[in-house]
Amino acid sequence: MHAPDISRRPVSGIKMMRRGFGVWTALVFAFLYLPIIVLIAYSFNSSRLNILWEGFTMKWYAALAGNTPIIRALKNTLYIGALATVFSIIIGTTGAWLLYRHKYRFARAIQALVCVPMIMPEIVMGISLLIFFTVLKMELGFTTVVIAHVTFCFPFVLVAVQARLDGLDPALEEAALDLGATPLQAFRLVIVPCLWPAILSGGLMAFTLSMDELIITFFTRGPTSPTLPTVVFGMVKKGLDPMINALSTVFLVTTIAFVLFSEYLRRLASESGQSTPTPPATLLPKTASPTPASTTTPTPTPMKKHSIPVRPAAIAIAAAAVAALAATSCAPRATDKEVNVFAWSEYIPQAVIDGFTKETGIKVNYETFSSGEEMLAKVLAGGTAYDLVQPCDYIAEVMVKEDLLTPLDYDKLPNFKNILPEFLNLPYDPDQKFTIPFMISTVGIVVNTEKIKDPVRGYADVFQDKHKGRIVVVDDGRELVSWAFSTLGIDINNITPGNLAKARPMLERWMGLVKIFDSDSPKTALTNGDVDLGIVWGGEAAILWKENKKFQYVLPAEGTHSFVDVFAISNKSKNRDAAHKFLDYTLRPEISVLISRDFPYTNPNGSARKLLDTEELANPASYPPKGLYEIFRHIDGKAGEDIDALYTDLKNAIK
Amino acid sequence: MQTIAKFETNNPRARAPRLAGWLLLAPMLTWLLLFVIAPMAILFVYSFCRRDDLGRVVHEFTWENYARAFDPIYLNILGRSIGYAAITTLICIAAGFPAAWFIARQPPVMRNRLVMLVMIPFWTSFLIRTYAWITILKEQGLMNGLLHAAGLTAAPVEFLYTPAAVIIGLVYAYLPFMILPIYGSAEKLDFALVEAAYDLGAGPLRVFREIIIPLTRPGIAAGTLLTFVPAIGMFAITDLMGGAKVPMIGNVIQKQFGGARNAPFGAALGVIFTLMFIIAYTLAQRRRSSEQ
Repeated sequence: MHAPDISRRPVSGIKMMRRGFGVWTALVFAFLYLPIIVLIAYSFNSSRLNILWEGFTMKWYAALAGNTPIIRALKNTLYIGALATVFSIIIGTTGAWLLYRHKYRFARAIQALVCVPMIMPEIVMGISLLIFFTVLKMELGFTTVVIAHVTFCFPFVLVAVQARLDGLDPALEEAALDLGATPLQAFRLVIVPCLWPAILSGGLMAFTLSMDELIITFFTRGPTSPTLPTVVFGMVKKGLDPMINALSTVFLVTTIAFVLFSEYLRRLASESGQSTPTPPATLLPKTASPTPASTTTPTPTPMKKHSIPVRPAAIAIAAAAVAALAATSCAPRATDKEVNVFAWSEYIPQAVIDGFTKETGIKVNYETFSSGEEMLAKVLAGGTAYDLVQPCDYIAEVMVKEDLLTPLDYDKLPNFKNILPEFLNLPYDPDQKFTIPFMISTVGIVVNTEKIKDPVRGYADVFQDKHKGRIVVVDDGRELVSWAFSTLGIDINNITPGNLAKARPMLERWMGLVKIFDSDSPKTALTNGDVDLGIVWGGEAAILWKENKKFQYVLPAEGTHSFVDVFAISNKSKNRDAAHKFLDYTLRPEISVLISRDFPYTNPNGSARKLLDTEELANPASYPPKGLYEIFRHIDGKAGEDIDALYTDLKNAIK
Repeated sequence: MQTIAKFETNNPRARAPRLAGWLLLAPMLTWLLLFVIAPMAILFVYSFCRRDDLGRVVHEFTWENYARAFDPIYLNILGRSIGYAAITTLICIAAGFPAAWFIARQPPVMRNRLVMLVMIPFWTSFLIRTYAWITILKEQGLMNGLLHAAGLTAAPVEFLYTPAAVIIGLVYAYLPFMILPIYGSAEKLDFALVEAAYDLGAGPLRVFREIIIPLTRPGIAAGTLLTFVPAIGMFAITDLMGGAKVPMIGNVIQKQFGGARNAPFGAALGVIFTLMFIIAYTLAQRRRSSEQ
């Protein structure tokens, strides 16, 4: 290379770089689409658990077509996402431009504040917005969700647009102004087209974030505005079935087709547009011609390819906003024509809800939660007048103490007689004034008997060194403490610093042996074969046993406890009559058995049990030898804090 | 001129806003006031409150929450969260930059299409995507199957429920948020500059270091902000793909408002976390503007 060929070298350098980057980009796309391919493949999987491949089926697509709540949730999600994106683009783009164009006082503080929603943990933002909306007496629903979404979405647009503005030639705007454009025209016709790639990126990010947001949506939504993530997350409990994969697949294929197709259409239009130059020209008023842009920007960006039809877009946005407001401002509702149910997701089969509406004409708004504490936080903040709530035992105890519930009118509940007496008058509601038991479950050990041959009788047999890295347990400090207490012979509700100190060394050893902590779906790791032992909710164990008999359920010899989910009527209820009707409906044996079929928990409804078949009754996780074991009581704040501190400390110490 | 401008905006010809300038910014400022500052104020008040036995906030002044928040264990957890976020961000830059650059160099039609295709995978449900990753990485999963078939490994490798799995999950979730802002910057870069540098005899590395990187720095900075900051608070991926073995700052705060029912302590952690971010961000901004 003594005499380098100067004319060839740059070309080869550029080519090399382009080729290298091209290969790299292909790899990045492969990475991005790898799980998507798996996701699509599993939408054709006949196994219900979305984990192991069993065989090809189209049934999930059929199920999807018949599932109106999911389709409704998807529509709602898209609607919210579109509105949040539009508002985010407007606020984000103008905000970025103004902050760039002017020297504001406190500009840096404003900038930092813009970024706060990105860093604030979702639950913090969700709860504080909930409190704020309640203070303002805004009814929770579509509008509040959109507001919340805009708040965390627009910073993404603003930051993306700012990056594009950085280094923008200031002469650009001046030239437009010199040529007679008003500042608004200059912004609309010169600046916005220059920023277009960043606006597109920002808008895409905003839409994506809005589509997938769960926690903030949970706290700001009303009973009638479910979004897809809130529905999907609730399904985990029962086993996330491939219907969601089918839904994702349909949605993905449609959008990708749309992207490719719309570009194709645009190309057709631009090809025909070359012979008739009129349509693009109407978008460019005579004053601000694109010429300054193409001469002053470093990249000569031909105006035509970026120019967006601003006016139709503005009209569309306005129409969407009006429609959204119309959708939320409903006329005052008639009493007892609907009932707001706030319950565990998927706990009440759709068939039961549909049957009730068909029989009584009462509409059921089924809002879901996935932790009792979240439910309590939302109820305490007010905002929505729920009719029926579904706490578990110790949360029910809080709600009774707090006066959050209304006494039941047993004259309206003739089917209450079906409940077995052993599930009545429990400590959380000693006089059975407020609550009706819904389902009961225990916590126990699941053993994969194909892998573990030694007998497992209790916690001591699970937490053996030879099982290190083969154990999944629920991610719940109080649970783990109660197991250690049972082993040590301490009452599980007697939580004192002294007792916790006694349990600490045992918990430390145990937690070091655990591979996975998972409260939402411990069955996943067991089914996958990543672990062989689990200490899980009875309901999870029952589902596992139903899928494969190798998963045996063992009630720990050291002792176990039950938890009881109950139904109760909120003291804010405006539809008490309808609430009683719904309760009584679920207590009918032929209805209650439908719930049992969907959720193999212990059904306290004696008459419903008689309708179950022998295999269902033989499920050791559904119907353990004893109906009811000890239950968790409400513990005071200090004890709760001590457990939390201990659990966090021990987890942090895991190697 | 430079000295005046450098404090607020990097536009050298920025003017002081007149009434119209403030009026136009008013919607955004109102939004920030109502939905960011007001909730933060509530949080701030809560952080000095006690809670009663039922977990309700009682308005009695106390420093206790802050005293507890500065326990080394929480600082340790925060440090770990920042560490994971930093590694994620670095990998996202390394993986995302060439892709963003390549997309920006395509013809306009292809460009828009590719940008959309970067984001579309994320229009599926988060849980389903994560489950798909679990299917790929589990012991008897795709990855181990492929490695075994290729004869690279004898026994299944433990990918899932390790820090490596967490990083894969985080990079996957945040990569588009790095690619898109860099694309926004790279798209406006005049390629003639790159060609000129080559013509003048610079090698690819030098062109990259001296032309491409400086001119796309705003995009990289924006991508870093959009990746690093949300990743610090992220914990759903850590829980699902890491087995929830190590707590992240997001978990700890989340739990205070949920299971632990100790909103005041959660609020104190939230306030400290947010303030630390605001200070760090302002300092970084100041350093950046004084560099220019």
